[in-house]
Amino acid sequence: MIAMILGALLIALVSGMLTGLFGVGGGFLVTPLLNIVLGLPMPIAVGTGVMNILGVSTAGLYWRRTSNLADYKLALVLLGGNISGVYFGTQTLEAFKARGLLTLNGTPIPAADFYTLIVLLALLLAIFAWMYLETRRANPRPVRVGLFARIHIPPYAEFPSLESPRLSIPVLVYFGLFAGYLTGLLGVGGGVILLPALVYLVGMRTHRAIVTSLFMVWLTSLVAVVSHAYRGNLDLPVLMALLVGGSIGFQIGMTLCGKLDGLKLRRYFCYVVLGVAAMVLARVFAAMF
Amino acid sequence: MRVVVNILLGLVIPIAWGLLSAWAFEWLRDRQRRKGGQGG
Repeated sequence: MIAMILGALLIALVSGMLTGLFGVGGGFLVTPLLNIVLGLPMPIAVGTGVMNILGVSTAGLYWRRTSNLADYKLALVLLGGNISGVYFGTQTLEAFKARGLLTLNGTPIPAADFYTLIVLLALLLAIFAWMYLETRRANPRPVRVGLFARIHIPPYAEFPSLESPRLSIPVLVYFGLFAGYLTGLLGVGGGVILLPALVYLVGMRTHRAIVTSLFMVWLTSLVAVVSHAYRGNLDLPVLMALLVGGSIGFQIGMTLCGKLDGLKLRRYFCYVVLGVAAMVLARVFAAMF
Repeated sequence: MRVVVNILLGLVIPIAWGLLSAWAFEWLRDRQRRKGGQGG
C-alpha cells in the first residue's frame, strides 16, 4: 500500500510539473500510468483520475479568478452535451467492466482495461500528431473565424466574445457531448482537446480559450466525479497522494516554465505524449502476444 | 449510504485541496515578493 501511495505521489509530481510547464496534461497521463505502473483496475484509475482533475482545475480557476476571461455562456451551452457525454462514457466503461476478463493467447486481461487502453492509445497518437505538426509550422496564422462558424444548423446563439459571434447550438452541444464522452470513458479532463478546439473550431482568442477550457474542464470533471463516485470507482489514499503530489509538481513546473522557450516546451511535450503512448502500446502488446 | 459518502468525498476533498493549495502557494509567493521588495 505504501509503495502504491509513493508511486501515485511520484506520478502526480511528474504530471503536475508537466501541467505547470505546458498548461495541459492532467488526466491523459495520470490515468494510463495509474493502470500500467500501479496496476489499478481501469474503472478505479479513471474515477480517481477525474477526482484529481477536479482538484487541479479548482486550483487553476482560483489562480485565474481575477482574469475575467471565461466565456460562461459558451461553457454552459457546451455543458448541455457534456453531461450526457459523461453519462454515456461512464456507461460504456461499465459495459466493458461487465464483460469481465478477456483471454488473449491464454493470458487473461480485464476487458475494461484492454478496450480503454486501445481508445487511449488512439487519442494519444492523435494528440502527438497534432502537436508535432503544430510545432513544426513556421509561421502559425492567428485564427479569426473558427470552423464551427461555417456550419449553419439552426438554432443559433450569439457569443459577443468571439469575432464571429453567431454559432450553431446543436454543433456546440454535440462537440460538448464528444468531450464529455472522453472524460467519462478515459478520465481525461478534456483540456487537451478543448483548448485547440476553442481556438481553431470556435475561433476564440488563446488567453480567453485557456480560461474557458479550464472552466469547462472543472464543470465536466464535477459531473464525472459524481458519476464515477456513484459507481464506487474511487481509491481514497491514491487520490490524496495524487492531489498532494500534483499541487507541488504544478508549482515546480510553473517556476521552470518561465525559464524555458515556448516552442521548445511544446516540442518536449510531444515527446512526453509519445512516451506515454509507447507505454500503453507495450501494455496492449503484452496482453496480445 | 456508501454511495452518498463516496460522492461527498469525491467532490469535497479535491475542491477543498485545490482551493487550499492554491491559496497557500499564492500566500507563499506574496510573502517572498514582499521580502524581496524590502531587501531591494
